Amino acid sequence: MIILNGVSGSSGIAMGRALIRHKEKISVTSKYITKNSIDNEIKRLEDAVDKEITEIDSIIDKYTQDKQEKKLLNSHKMILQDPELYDKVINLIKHGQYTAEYSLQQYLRKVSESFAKMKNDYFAERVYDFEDAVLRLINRLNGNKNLIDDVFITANDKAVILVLEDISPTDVAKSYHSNVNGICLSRGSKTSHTTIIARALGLPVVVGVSELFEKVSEDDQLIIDSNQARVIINPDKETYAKYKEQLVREEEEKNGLSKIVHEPVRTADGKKLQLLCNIELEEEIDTVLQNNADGIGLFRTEYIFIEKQHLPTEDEQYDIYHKLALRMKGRQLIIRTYDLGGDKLADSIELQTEKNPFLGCRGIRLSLRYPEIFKTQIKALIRANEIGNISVMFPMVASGSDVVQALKIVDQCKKELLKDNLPHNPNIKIGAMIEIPSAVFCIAELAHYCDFFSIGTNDLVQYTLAADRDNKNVEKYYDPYNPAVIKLIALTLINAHRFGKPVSICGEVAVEKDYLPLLIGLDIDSISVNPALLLNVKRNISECNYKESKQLVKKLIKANTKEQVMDILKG
Amino acid sequence: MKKKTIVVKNKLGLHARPCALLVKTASKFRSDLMIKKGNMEVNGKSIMGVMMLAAEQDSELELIANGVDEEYLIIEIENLFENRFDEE
Repeated sequence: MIILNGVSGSSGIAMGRALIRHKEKISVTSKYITKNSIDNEIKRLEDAVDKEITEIDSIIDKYTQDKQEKKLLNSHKMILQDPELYDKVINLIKHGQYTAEYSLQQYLRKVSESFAKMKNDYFAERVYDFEDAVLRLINRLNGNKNLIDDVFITANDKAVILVLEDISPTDVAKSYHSNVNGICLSRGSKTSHTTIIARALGLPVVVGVSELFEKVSEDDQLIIDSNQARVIINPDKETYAKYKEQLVREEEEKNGLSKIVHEPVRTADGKKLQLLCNIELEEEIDTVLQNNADGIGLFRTEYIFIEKQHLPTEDEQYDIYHKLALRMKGRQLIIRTYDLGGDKLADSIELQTEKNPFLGCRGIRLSLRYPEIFKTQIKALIRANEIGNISVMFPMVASGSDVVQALKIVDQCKKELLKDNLPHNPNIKIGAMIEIPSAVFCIAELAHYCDFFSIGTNDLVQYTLAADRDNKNVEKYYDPYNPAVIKLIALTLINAHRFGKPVSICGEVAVEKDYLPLLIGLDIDSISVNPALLLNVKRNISECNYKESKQLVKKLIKANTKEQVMDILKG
Repeated sequence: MKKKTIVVKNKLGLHARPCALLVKTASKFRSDLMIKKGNMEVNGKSIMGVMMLAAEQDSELELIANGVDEEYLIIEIENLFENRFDEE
């Protein structure tokens, strides 16, 4: 058994046999034709285009319910039907006496060059859709089948996991509708179109797996566990059984869950609470709305800051936040200011390497250190708050003075927006993440400045127990069921409610069924989870009893050992 | 031949969706449509051409239509820009 680590591209678990495909470099073998065969060559091109379009149409008709996916396929189709592409390529065939594929390659090169010169990243990146469409066409003319077309036939006989360097969005869609259970890529990124589509379809994908091709052989038994961002090759019996069981369970669950989408969120004895989502891409909103969440409890803005080569401007950010706010109309939208360490903004600010970045200048500390960068985000948020559903939340708050300083900047931003006569809505709610233990002990002071709190359990556990969650050597010390963590969560909720401030929780524990009685018994106001798990949590809540949970909490806060905690929770 | 200068009003400029809408609309007509931005001129019925303009908000474009239904073509395209491509 070998375990490889990667990055989670689209969460979930999948099992199957490895099907490996290397992306051959597209090489055009013949370049020239004779004068007599010009007409024939044009016919070849037209046939290839027709076939490609027919294929796209049949995919759209047969399979596609997803909006995002449909949009992409339609854009491929428009590119293939582009009269400019047709004219220029026909011209090259006629006057250069080139083969259709060589002409396409020449044209592609020219277009790519013009796009590369563009200053606006958004437009420059559109070239990838174009490349994707034209390369498929060249491949078809070349007589090479599309890289993975045969896969879809093979995959009909047995469940497979695709092992590739990268994959196009169209092929992800096709994979989903054949017997492909999951995909692992040696390249790829979390924010590519490919992974966004995979997420929308619920197809598990792990990207950026190093040594993938060295370690995996054709037909190996593979498990991809995207929740833990890893690929397991030839699992031992025990591991195999564990995942198999989990898969069967998930399948049964999925069938039952779709029935509760429109049910209200409440416990078995009728106590209501809000169920929100944690997301970081606008595209994820489709799933948020499909699953009927009450809102977004955590929109992470880190990606906006690291995705491009430059820092996002106020206007660029405004566009993103404004669009989010409009799509979430009538629902809550909590946007967290960027939670980055100094290293991530390295290109734009002076870099100081920190020995201990988790205890260093990150989150709100970094924002306060570079107020000019922070102000672009705050102004963009206040401007985007047109319909008033945006709340701002600060990460890594350690004491009241962090919030006081941040609020000074917020006030300054409001004044400047007023002066510049830019439309904005100054009534924006302010919240603090409770993830550093010291913050728990100054809730009274924080409540003075904040409208709400959100407990980030992942960091709270790490800072309380001084255990890095990604460090295998201290894995057993990182434990959300440790009595100290339970007491801190209880203290946060009890004290915040004394001041009439709502508390939400966004962290992985919220998904664990065993943890729910603690949260519900302490009157948690909202729970924020990964949108794909929303319905699972909704069902767990509906099976939880509020009155019993309240009794349980009384015992829980007196527990001294993890064993006692577990005994109480498991009843 | 009919010409008309227009300004991109919608916030995001001529991004993927407006481009597609523009090309689809222009393709319904028999007349040719060229779009000029600065010294760049592209075919208004070509999605890659229009995309290559990289026209952001407030950029000025010149529409040049030529053919039997040029007048109607200009009116419809102008409407798209006026209505901000039904965005916002």
